[in-house]
Amino acid sequence: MQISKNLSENMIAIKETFRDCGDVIMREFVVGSGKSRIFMIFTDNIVDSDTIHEFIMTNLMGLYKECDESGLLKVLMEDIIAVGEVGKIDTLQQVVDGVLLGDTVLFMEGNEFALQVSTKGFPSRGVSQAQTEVVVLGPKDAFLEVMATNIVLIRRRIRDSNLKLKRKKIGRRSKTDVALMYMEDLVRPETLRIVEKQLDRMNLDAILDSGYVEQLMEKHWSSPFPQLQMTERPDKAASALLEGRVVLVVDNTPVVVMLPVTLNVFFQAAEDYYDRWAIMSFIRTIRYIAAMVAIALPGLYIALSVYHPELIPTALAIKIAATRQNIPFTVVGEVVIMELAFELLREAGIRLPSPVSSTIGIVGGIIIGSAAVEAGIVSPTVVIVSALTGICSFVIPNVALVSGLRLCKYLAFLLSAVLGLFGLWVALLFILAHLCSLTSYGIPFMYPFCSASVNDDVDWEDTVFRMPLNKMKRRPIFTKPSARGRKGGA
Amino acid sequence: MFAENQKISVRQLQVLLLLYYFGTTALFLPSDAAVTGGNSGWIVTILWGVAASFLAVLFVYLGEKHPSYTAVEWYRRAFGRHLGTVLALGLGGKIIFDGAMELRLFCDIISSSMLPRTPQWLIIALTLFLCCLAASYGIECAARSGEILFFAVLIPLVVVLIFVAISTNYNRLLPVQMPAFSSLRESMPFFAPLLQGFMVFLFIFPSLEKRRHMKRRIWLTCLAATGLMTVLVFLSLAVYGTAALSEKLLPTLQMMERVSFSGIFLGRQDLFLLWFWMVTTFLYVTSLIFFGQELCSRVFQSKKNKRNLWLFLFIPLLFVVALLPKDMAEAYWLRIRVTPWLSGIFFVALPVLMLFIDTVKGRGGHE
Repeated sequence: MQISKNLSENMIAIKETFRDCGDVIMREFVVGSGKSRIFMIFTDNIVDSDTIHEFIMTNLMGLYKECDESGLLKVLMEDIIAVGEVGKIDTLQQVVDGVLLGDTVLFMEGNEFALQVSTKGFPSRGVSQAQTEVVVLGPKDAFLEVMATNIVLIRRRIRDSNLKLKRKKIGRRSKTDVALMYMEDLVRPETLRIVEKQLDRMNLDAILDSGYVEQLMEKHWSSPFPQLQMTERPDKAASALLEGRVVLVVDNTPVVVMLPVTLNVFFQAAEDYYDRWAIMSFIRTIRYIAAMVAIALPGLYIALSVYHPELIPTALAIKIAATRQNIPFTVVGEVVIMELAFELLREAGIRLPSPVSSTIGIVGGIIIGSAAVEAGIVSPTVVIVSALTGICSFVIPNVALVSGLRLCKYLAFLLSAVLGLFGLWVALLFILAHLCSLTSYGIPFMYPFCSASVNDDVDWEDTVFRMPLNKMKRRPIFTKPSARGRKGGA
Repeated sequence: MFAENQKISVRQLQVLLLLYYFGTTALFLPSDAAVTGGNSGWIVTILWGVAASFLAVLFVYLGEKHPSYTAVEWYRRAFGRHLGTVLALGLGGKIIFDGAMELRLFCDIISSSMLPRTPQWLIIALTLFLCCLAASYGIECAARSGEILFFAVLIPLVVVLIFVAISTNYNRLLPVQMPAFSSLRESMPFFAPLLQGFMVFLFIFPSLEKRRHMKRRIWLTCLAATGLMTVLVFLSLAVYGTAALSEKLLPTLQMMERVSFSGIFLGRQDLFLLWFWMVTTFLYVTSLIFFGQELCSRVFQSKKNKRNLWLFLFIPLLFVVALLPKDMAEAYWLRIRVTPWLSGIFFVALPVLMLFIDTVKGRGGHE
């Protein structure tokens, strides 16, 4: 609906739209010699009151000069309102969107336009430390719930005019701001095109978290593995941009979305690039081994101890058998008990405040574990297997990937319990085939472990091993082919 | 968007070909080589391997002449629409037979060595399900899996072979003798399964990207596979001697059982090395199912996105045919009797004939 020249009509329409919205402030006042009526509207608490009082109200009442109604808009924009971002809008829907976003809108008699003045001032916590991607070395700052601050945190790290930003509003009711950031000279155009199309097609009531965006953009929605990467670290987001990836900053969310992805990027931590290559390569290798252990260890233990004890060296087999004496449950039952207990402890630890959660970890891990062994409910070997599996899953630096691996662990566990080692192999091949079938914006999920020849095998330099920074001369596959060369290394 | 184009690279083809060579054939071959070639069984392996590698080059030559053709178009072009369709359907039969026998032999080995009390149909059904799932993802998925699994399976195998080689006395192989022509002729049926992986050449060319130096690369791959196979036969002969080796059913696995690594967690690595054959069987049967789907899609001109519907034809057929033989011995006997004929027709006679027809009619053009 277009804005009318008649101020009263506009006021009636706006008052009807915001009926019973107690936080929306509307004020009508006259300026000059009483001829010019102005109607102002904004939402309380999401605006910066100082800006409204000092740069709009004070100036309007103090600096106003008489002029005819049609010239009023120009005078306000050019001479009176001392705010950087001021724009003309002509529909009531734009007015509503602006007001709910934290802007102030001014209607004037005789004008079929309104003025939208940027007065956003959301309540927000300060920049704090990362909670889930903690590093020993490197920057400690993390994203916030305020999109503008998040964009600043990225911009501070990349002072390049090639860093582009497109804003979109998603969610019929929430109208959540989403910023699409990319390096113009590095991003693959086809990736950008698909992402924009996906964002434009999103049709739902609200985007309350970047997790919504992640799920709606994943091509293989049935997969337990994440096909987009989330991070709360600005340095990681900046690094992704410099690799030609696209970053989506969603308002009200302290994590940003990065795409495309491969399995490999989920094993990369920000810290990997802040310390010496040799030690970080070693740690990367450990992470990959840990991932395999996290999937296969419980299943392997069941397969070997139940179906193929002949594969275990005799001395070890005897020890395991000795620890199982007087245990009332089968090996499978024992593992199920311990894995469930571990899952419960993990959930309890996440939901509780951090001082209590560490207590739960200690109580659960040590006291309940040793009590269960002493009570003869489970054998010490199973406690070791479950604990090792759990620890290995925590070694992987991405929570979403760990969740996927947890589900895979249960598949391997189930098939091993039914078919022994053969079942474990079937489960592993099933998982591998599934992973190999996944793609993220045209890039195989398992790249560069497969199809590496597409980028002349250079992507191996940042996989299981991380080469020295000065040896990393090429950008990864995410970058458009013509921009893969790096001058002077990473 | 290189992942969305259903193409595989020549490197991926090389990996797949190498792994196809080591299907269940590698488990039986040393024994067969000893029966037919005696002490010179390893030389017989080299000769047949080299011959197979030249055949592979012929396929690549044909493929480069008609890069958009699969066997269906090749046959129809060379022999006319009707006869071509009949031959293509015959090839479909070979796909089902090869796949079913590979499944049956592998599942029999699993059943006898790992799960003696589990019903065999369950093992076959589960393996078949896994292969069908992978086939439904397309050949790209199989190729990517192959690239990853290649290192996971081949490195342990090579390590074990090195340890066997170190701990073996080679006196049994002496004196070295050249095989007689008669033994070469007799060994042909036993070495025919070596060609089983060549099925890939009949379907893969439209799915290949960047065919640089393809003839040389495929030839070298076949030679590498021949080399590895020869090592298996050579070591088996050295470890057991001709007479004992001829009596063994799965000498390759038994040979690996002999090696023990001090301090290693595993008591028996032979069972773990069955993982290698699980992988090769998985990839081989997956590819066969995919090729079968491709064949049916092209013969009956069904839409590409309906390709997976053909799985409903292949799953029951493979399952039933795999269950037909009474036991592993009968399955093996059946394979030795049937495979040489089918391989002779589809991998030797027809390609040579097609090359001849192409040459006479001046068809095809190199890229």
